[in-house]
Amino acid sequence: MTDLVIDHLTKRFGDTVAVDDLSFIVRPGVVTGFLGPNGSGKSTTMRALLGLITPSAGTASFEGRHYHDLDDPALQVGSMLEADAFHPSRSGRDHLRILAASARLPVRRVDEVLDIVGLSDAATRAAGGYSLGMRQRLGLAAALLGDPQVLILDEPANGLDPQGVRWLRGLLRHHANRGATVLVSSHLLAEMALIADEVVVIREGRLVTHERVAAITGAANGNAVVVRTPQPDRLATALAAAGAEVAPDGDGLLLIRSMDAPAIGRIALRAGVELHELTPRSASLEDAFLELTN
Amino acid sequence: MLPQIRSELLKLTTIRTSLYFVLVTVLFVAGIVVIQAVTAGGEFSGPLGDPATQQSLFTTAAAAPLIAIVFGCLAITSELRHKTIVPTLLFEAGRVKVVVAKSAATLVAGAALGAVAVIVGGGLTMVILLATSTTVAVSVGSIAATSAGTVGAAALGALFGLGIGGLVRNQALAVGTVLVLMLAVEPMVASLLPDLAAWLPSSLVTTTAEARTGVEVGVWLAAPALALYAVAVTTGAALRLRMADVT
Repeated sequence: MTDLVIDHLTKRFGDTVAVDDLSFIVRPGVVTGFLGPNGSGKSTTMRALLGLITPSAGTASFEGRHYHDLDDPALQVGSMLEADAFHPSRSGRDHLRILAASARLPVRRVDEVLDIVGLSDAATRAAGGYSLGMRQRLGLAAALLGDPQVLILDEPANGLDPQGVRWLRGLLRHHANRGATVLVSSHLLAEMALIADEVVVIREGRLVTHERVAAITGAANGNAVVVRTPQPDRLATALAAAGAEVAPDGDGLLLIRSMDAPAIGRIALRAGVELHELTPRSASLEDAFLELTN
Repeated sequence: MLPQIRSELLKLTTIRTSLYFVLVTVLFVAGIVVIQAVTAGGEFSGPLGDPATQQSLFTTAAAAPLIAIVFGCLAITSELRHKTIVPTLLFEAGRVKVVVAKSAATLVAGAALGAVAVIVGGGLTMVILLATSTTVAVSVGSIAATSAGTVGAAALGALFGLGIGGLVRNQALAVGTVLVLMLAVEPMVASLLPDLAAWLPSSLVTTTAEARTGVEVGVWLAAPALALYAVAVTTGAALRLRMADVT
């Protein structure tokens, strides 16, 4: 049960500010998505957390303990930052054996994680010949090697096939359900909407929001009700008079904001307008993300 | 520390590059021994029975430490090139500890490369002498000293290369730096400052590998001086890695 604490983190590379006074806390037991446009500072934040870069100011810690102060960090924190971080002529199994040896883990555990990620059949092949999806699985196997309580994964769904993405979703959910802290960055927003319970959104190194996915999409402008009617002008007039935002959407469709479906139905009934469709439409995480980051 | 050393040794033994270095060493040493044996008694060397010719054959393996320098250089730069430094540091966050473990593994690998050269060079020389019914005119002590010197110089050479690689970081640039240092800078410095010549890394490697004695800077001075060079550049590499952002 470990909180990841990003506290006023700032990182500059020369004149470029990659992360700017960023603060948020990732709690255990939920899957937290980490979103932001390219170059927004997600990877830099993760690397600061994992002790790979030194912050210019602020801290990134595991409840106050820096990564290099953790006892056997690989047994507590599993991470995947780059899918290509292996020697191309070395087999996937040897890559994991090397890491296992460093963490004093038995070779048995290597075979277990290869099985978990579905790479057993390709384990002895040179990793340079792996597909992108297999490379991702190898990176995930390394992250899982120490059976950690914290998972920090940068774009883990990249290159995975639909079965792989579903498997990943289950894996992250399983870890969160058993109380692990899970931080996952991704630019696959539809996937993130299915995986994450809450999301941290950053832009230009700064925090934009940290909310539950439902709260973010609920507050986005994309929420609307789609109405199909043979009398769109008459209904639009009645709805506008009642205070709704009405926008024609072509072919007898109206897009109504600021009013829910039951209220629209009642107004249509009172106005004697026939309805062929009355469909609430929720904003997607993508809608919310674009609204927050543009 | 032992798990990290084991991990570093596994790195060296699970890539084809290490095998290629062994093959290059074997072919190079065997080729030079054969050429020397074939040309013995010609314009440039004495007959096979001549102790000086035999000494030259037995010290052919002394070229191995120069190959070991490049090997050491690649041992660390390939980590940076292939980004395996990232999982390495995620599994062992102590960066100086990583460099120390890597140094220990590289010393062992360098020594092994030197041993292969000694076995190939010495073994082939013995085969040639026996096949030509030539009496061995070099003492066992001399052969043992040269063999030990070659193994030690190869170990220290590999460590020296590791340090250079860790300081330069870019693989091509690091190997280029080593070659320019040995083939251009050192000869130039030696010609400008002859008194320093014997203390330059290449000279120290050769003196140690051939276990030379009876010269101003003999093996007992050269080996510690070479070790100092190796430790100095490796310490620099450790400090550089400690301060660097791994992006």
